[in-house]
Amino acid sequence: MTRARDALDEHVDGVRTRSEEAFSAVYALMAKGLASYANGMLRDRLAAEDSVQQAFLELARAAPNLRGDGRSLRAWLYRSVRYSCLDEIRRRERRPEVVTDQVPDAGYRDEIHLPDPALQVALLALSERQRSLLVLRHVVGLSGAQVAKAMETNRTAVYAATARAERRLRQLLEGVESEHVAASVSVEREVLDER
Amino acid sequence: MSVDIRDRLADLEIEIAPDTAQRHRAAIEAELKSPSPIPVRRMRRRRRPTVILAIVALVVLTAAGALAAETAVQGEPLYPVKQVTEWARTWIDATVPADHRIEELDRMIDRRANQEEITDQLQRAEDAVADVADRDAVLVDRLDRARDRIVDVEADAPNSDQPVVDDPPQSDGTDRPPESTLPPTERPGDGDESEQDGQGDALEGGEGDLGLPAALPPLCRGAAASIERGETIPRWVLRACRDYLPQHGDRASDSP
Repeated sequence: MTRARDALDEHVDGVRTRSEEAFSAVYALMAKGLASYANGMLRDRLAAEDSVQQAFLELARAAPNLRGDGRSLRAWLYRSVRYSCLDEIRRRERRPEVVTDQVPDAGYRDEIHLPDPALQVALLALSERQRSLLVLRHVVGLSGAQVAKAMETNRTAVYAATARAERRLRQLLEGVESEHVAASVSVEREVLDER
Repeated sequence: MSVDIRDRLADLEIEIAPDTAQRHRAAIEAELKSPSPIPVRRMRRRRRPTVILAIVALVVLTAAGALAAETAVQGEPLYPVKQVTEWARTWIDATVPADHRIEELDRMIDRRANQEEITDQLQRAEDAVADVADRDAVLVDRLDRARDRIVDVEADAPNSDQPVVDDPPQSDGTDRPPESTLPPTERPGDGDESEQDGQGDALEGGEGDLGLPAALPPLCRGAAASIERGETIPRWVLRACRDYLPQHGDRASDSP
């Protein structure tokens, strides 16, 4: 049985020879998925885009030693983004955000707009690994085998861990949302009392 | 509450803005145009020999240290290293400590260490051998030979180092040998002065009251004094001094 050809297969040789065309094609195929993955990990669009650029720059440096086919290249890029994200998370933990009175300009606020605050809070409570699994599977849409290669594990472990992560996220979302509802009700009650 | 997390997670998907993508492509092209960098794997390979060399150096130094420490005796800088390797080897062979203590004792005798050091070492060797005596008769024989050598060395020692019987020290009026030359267990007791005087008299003169030879080793000299005072003395002392002392086997203690 032969495996299905990966879209990246035809560009791998070009990447190894550091061809601009090959890199451009790989960027076109991969950038969106990589950026979405990084966004899911960091909840920061700008940092996510930076990590994508960083991954491709590292690929340009390491290209002559690249081994394997298109699947390996895909896994290599996701791993690179993952390590960038982990570095960024560690950096943030070392230097917590400083609360200031200054309000960022409207344009910047649009850039970091979080569409689903409850989801963001719940994702934060997950471990980095669980977050990675959920984002790669349900945001980027990688198959179990592709996630396994990117996370340097096996498919069975990916399926089991993803199921656990989904359960945990569901519980967290229910908890966060019920707290949110309770908080909203109490605020409304205070407003009515004041009237 | 049923939550469709897949739909909600899909909101995290983002598209890279065209101008940002343009910027990325330009940076990648610039990187590709720059001279080919050192491949990552080659960099790793360069680091590997350093790590291997460091590990080899560590192993060699440890082995050399352990080897050098093999000949160390109590009080020398490498002795703690020897104790560590000995502790490790004891797991394989329980007679190692006894073997080492006897070797150390032999070395001390060879280099004519002072009597006190030798006596302490002898005690350590006896303790170590006692732990394994039922398992290794050879060690017991070696310890006996070491005891004999102690006596022989003392007998061969130059007279200036020996308590001189014919020319007793005048300071205290007795012929007691200097205490530093006798093992603590064999030193004359701290009894009353009359006892010590009696002992001095007994030893006075090479062919004195006890009929002892002039070149009496300090060990046997102490033993003779102990016998004279009616004290018990270790069997090995008796055996070692059998040529010098009258038969007092019944006064030997049970200690080896």
